[in-house]
Amino acid sequence: MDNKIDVLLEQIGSDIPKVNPNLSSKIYQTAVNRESKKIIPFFKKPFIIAFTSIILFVVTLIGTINLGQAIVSNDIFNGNIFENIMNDNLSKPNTDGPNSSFEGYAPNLSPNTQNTVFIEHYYSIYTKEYDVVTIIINNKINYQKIYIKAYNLNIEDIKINNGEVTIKQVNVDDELFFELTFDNTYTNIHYLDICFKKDVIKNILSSTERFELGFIVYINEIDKNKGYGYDFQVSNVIDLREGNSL
Amino acid sequence: MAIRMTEEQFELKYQMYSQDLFNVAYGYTRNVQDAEDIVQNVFIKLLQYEYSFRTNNDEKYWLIRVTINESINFVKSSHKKKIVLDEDIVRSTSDKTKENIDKDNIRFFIEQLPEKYKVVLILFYFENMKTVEISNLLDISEAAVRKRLERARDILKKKMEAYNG
Repeated sequence: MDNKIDVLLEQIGSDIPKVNPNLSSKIYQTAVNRESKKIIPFFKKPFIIAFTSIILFVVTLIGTINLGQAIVSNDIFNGNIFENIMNDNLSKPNTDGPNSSFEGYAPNLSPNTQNTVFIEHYYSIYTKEYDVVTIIINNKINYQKIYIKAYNLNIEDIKINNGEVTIKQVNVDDELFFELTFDNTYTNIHYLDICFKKDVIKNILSSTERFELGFIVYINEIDKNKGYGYDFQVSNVIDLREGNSL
Repeated sequence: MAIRMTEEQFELKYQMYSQDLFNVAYGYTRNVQDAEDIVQNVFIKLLQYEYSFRTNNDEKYWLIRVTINESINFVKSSHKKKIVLDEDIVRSTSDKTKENIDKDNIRFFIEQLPEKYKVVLILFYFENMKTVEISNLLDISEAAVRKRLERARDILKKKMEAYNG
């Protein structure tokens, strides 16, 4: 009987009819229609808009307060960041300068650090659009250009968090760089949100505890013999996707 | 929330997974139209799903899990109606061959199985998944999958023996 049950089950499995192969278009249209129905009535209701605006305002307010607390409690400014970034002593080398971990990826990176651009990792967050690594750049020369790319991840976008920076993308020898031009009129400290594809860092950190994000930087011009490497350990990423705030 | 893929991309997903999902849904419902409705709901959920999957396997497992949940909900909501129909099927067997009668009865008895046995049986026989894949999908050990399969077959055997006298 054991065998018979097994055989009958296998036969029943093979008797299952074939699915209709032409349903995908109908399903897609149904999903699109449902989405459009969801959105339109929501925004037709002024009360909901007003209520949502108030909630957003409160959430933003709480987020701003929490950010201030997080900065203090996480000692973000108590460590090397202030020493390196805020330091006006040009003779002090950047501790996150060229690193042997770049060997094999960018062999021409200069073995010597430089002292006109200081870069530090500030914090990393998951947002609904991107995985974001915010860096602080202390640029010593006004209107200096730097070219930056991440060597182990693709940068999707760079957004100005604070400071005056002109950002554009340039393609050199089929390599995409972000060209940053710093205006130091008001400050030489610039905060930039480096945006990576959503989940790319989250997925890496789900399988490993240690992840170092590496940047290749060229100053003034892209000269493959005069690059600099910076790598930052990304950990304790703040998740802002599920309604959390900083 | 927005649709996160083009119609062409979705067409590919549909071709990749629709038969697998249909097999699972059909295992629960035993009705083509109902199974297609479930598959449709599952794919709509995929289109509305906000996050991306690391691998195709993750995506497939997610789809199968959603299909199982949708199927269970469907069966629960139409339980009374189906019981009546199923009993009719078991009783009105006089014009069928012995093999078909046995198949009908097995199908009926599968539906009576406790959920934890039913799901492994459907995935193993109807979806042709390996025990290790089932263990990953359901997040239970492979030994537990094999045990549940054995127990499910045992229950079916006893019911068939009782039915056949």
